Amino acid sequence: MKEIKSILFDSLLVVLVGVLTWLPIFAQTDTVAVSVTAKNSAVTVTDGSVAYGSAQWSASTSTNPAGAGSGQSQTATNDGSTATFNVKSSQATNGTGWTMAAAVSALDEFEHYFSTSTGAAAWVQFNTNPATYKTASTTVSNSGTMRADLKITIPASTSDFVAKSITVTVQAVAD
Amino acid sequence: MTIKLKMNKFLIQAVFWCFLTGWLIPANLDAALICTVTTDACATLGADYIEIFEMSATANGHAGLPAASYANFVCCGNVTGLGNNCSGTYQVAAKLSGTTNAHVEKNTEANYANNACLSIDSGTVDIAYQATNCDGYHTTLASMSGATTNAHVGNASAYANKICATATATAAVSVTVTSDGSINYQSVEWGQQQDTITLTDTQTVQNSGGGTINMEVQTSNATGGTGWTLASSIGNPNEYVHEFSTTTAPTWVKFLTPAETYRDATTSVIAGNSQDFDFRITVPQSTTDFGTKSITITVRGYAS
Repeated sequence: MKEIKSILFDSLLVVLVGVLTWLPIFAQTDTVAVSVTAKNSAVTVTDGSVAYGSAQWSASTSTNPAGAGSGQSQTATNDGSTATFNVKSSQATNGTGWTMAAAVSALDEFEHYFSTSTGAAAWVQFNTNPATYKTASTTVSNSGTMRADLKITIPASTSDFVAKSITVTVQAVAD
Repeated sequence: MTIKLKMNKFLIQAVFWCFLTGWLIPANLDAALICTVTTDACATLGADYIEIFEMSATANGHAGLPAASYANFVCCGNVTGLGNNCSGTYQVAAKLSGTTNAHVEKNTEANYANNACLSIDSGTVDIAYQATNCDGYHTTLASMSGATTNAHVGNASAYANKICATATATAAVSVTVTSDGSINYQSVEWGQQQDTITLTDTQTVQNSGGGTINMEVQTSNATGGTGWTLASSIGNPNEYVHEFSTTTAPTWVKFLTPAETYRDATTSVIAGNSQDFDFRITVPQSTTDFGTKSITITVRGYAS
């Protein structure tokens, strides 16, 4: 038994010496340095609801403190990687719908604006094509926020006086 | 019984040694060692020739270590990496009674303290003393008037007591990432892929050693911020997939998990040739942060 142990020990010793002696000669490495960044587009809007209330034909109202809809500023938060925020507005629905237009004049046409300024509002009109986004803010970092105020100009004349619904969409596109 | 065990012991060790050498020893370079005694500087025989010792005459001479100012130089060459160092991989060719005007003895004697050595950077060196000839060895380095000690020296034909030598260089393994050793996958959406073909950033690895090799690769986990762990598929947060391809039309092969586990990539890359590698990453399905991650891909060459 002692001899067998001796054989095994000596043999392992031979293996070990062989590996230690030869391995540096037999294998050699080089490396490639890799970098990568994950990105993800995610945004949440709080509180997500604006009630413009009632307004006269051709009158404007907004969420900006200076306007009739004061206190309803919306906040979009970037829950993903650094991104660009885009916005678009739908048409106004319910009853006889209203259509976005550059300026009110025709029946059932309204103007819709947004502002991302944290001070006095700097109104930018939504694209009148409800499928088309307009850039609102760029390079919004993760957890960064964008204030969004909205302003509407009621049509110069309307077919009815039913409350209308509009959906404003905020899109985050990761850089 | 004891004899049988000792034989078994020898056999087991022999098997282990064969296993080791069979698996690990790269192809030796075929060039045979050449030694000669010349009156010209050894370098005139070739850039790889080095002086082992000197002698006052090609027969019945006294010996001196290199730079002893004798006119007859014992030069050896034709094998890569030869030297006359008495350290590293070496053998004592002869022991001298002094650094000059010396008698010589075999390297197994213990009377003289000045060693004339034959060394090699990578490989093996053998010195032996035989009567009449150097059969079984590459070359006759010199000859001695006596068989053991207190001998004069001469060239290969001077005496019957030959100093025999063999030296074999081992091809060192070397791989070099020649183009360009850096990949930037840029920003990749959660759960999406990016690869070096799309980025036109194929990596090239050259066999910069002396023999034919195989190549294997490994990847690290991704570090920086909350790290990503290498996985075989994405799904869990902060787990990513990394793949490589060695073919022009990509055949993606996943790096082995866990990270830093080598996987064979290609075989039989001859010296001087290169192998192209493409890499593909699949970013985690979700990540804790959006910081830039760093990954290290390691390519290892080993003798075929």
